[in-house]
Amino acid sequence: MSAEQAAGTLPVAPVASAWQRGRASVLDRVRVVPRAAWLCALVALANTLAWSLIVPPFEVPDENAHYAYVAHVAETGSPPRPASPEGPLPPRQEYLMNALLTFGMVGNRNNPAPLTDAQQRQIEGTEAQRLPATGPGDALSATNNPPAYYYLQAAVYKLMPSGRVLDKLAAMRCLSALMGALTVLLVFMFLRELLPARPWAWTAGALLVAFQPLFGFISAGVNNDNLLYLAGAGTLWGVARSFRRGLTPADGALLGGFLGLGLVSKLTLLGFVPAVLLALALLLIRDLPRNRRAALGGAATALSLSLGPVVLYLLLNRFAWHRGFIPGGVGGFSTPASNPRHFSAAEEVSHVWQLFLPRLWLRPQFSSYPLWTTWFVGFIGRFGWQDYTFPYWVYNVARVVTVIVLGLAAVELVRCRAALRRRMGELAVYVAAVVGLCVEIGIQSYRYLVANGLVFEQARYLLPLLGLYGAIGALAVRAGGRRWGPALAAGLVLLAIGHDLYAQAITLARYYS
Amino acid sequence: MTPAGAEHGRGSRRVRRVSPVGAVLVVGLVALLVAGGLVLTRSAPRRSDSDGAADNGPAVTLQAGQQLCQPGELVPADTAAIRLDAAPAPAGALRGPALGAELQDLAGSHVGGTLAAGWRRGAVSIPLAPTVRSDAGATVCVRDLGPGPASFGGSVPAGSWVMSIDGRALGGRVRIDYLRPGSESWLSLLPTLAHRLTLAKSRLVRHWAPAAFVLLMLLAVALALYAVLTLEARA
Repeated sequence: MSAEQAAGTLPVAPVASAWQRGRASVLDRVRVVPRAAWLCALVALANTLAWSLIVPPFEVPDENAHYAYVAHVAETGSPPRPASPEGPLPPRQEYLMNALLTFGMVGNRNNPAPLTDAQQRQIEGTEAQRLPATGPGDALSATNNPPAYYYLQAAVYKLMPSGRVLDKLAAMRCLSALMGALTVLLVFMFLRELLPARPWAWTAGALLVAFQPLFGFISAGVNNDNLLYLAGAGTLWGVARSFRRGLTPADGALLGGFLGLGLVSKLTLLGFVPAVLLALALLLIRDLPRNRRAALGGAATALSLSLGPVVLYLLLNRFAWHRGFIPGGVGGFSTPASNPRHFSAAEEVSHVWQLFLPRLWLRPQFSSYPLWTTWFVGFIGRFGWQDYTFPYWVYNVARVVTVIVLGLAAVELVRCRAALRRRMGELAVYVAAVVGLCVEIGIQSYRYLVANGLVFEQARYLLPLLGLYGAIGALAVRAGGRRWGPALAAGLVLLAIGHDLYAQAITLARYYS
Repeated sequence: MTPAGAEHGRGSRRVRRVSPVGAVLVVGLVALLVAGGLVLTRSAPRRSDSDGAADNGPAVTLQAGQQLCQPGELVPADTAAIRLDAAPAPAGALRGPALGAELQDLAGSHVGGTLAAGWRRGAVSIPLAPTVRSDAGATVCVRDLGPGPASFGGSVPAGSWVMSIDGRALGGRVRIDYLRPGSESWLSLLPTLAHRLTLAKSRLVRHWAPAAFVLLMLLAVALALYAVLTLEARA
């Protein structure tokens, strides 16, 4: 044995060189990301961090439950198990929420955040008490969620040396904001693959996403939706990239990796599964004759990377965390005797349809028109725990702007009809993603209504489709051509900035005046 | 602003042609600034705080001469009036009775005021004098000075909260907003808003949260405008 081998240095050299090669490869890939993409991500980061400073603690929907899940993971090493009845939250969090007046604020748009120094002293006194960080209960509505987002946040929780809930929450909000920024970066990359001919339109589409107020508001809080949005945008990028460049193991890894990450963040991304399967089928049909090995490798990588995390999650649930294979089940529910509604498959189909589309001849399922009240109004802006909105005129103006933008996007699609015809399969995949997500939300909505008699759906559930929102914006500005397109983009981005600033203004008024 | 290239000279005078993107940005930014200015300069009564009670509709009705007292209130500094959701009673009555308000058990001073009869259903403000100068615990009492009864919004019951009507205990709470003196624009309220933004936050961010918010939004808008200005060059 040589001296080097005895010292254990020989094996290190190849490892170090492999590491350096890997590092160089990653850096090369990072350098491929256009500067404009980083710029858009930085805009989103600044915007979401700003949002995180003005939204009071636990005022992003279900933030109390998501924080409790993270605290449970960080303190015990495993996700919470469902408890019946659900709760209570750990004393450290519960007492603080009392001092923060959270329970009085939620749902009562007239109740402000703490405004006096006396209340601040009470909050500091509660934080100084060192109450138990864990409790006997679960994490309320977050309990049944998959754990990816919470384990990432648990690292932040542990890294914060302070035992104070507000310090940990502030740090966790920064990670959420970073996820929001990465989402915008991925939207940019998606647009780059989807609409390669006009680079300036990518920036416009990504900036429209960066200033979307509902996205900024949710990204400001601790909520597993943030990793879901990132994964949704990444999956769409993977699809577009594979269609443009051909299915390879690398692109399959991108596609499957983001889908797998999304599925272990929130099961809502199950709605994307039919679209991804359709994409893989179409890509295999197209690419097998050209490059059989790469196409098969790509499909296998995509499937294994999307299924692998899910299988691991199920096994951990069952054998390590003792939560059953899928806590809460998928689509399973029980109807309490007190609820007059009972499950009906026909009614479920009608409910899903009417949740997104005109009622037609079907029996009414809603007292209002959800396409407007839930999705459009919610997407333009319904904030807090769904307790404050813009003045009504804003939604009417937004409707006009939306019609114009959709019209311009349609004009551009007609202009590019030859390319559109060639890419009909890819378009079908995006339509399948929209339909899949809507059906998934609709089924959950109906079953939640039957089981609890309560409304489930919120506009934020559609934000995994942010990439397509950016695409509509990018298509609309392309309609202006090379001469007027950039000016159109400037106008739309300014409108988005105004929209976002107005949303922040009503947030300041809601909580601090 | 990006010059569109062509420059026309007449003698020493040079005219720079503004690009379409530049023109849109100038017009848009001016519109945003004008809209922001209009909002910031609009005056209205502003709250110093509220008691945080839910307003679930009429909660209690006072007959002429009766007094409602709500103990355990935190009356914030700069309070010069209280605002209640009130309605003349019985239903259908158009004009409300005179109302008196008093902050009892307030250390150091007597604070109270009255509102003349004749008010209509909705938010009514009873002015207080002198203005409360620092946060203080107090019992807030409202008296119906007649003629006729009046009802007040709140919730009955309201957890463990107990108020009293002429000394008789009643589980519940009337919703009270505490108002700052006079009418203020958002612009003049900005220092107060900045202070409020420092409350109920992590020690790591609370003291610089207002400045950080403004700087982050300036950064976001500036970067976005820079990105937009470069669009034309890439087109």
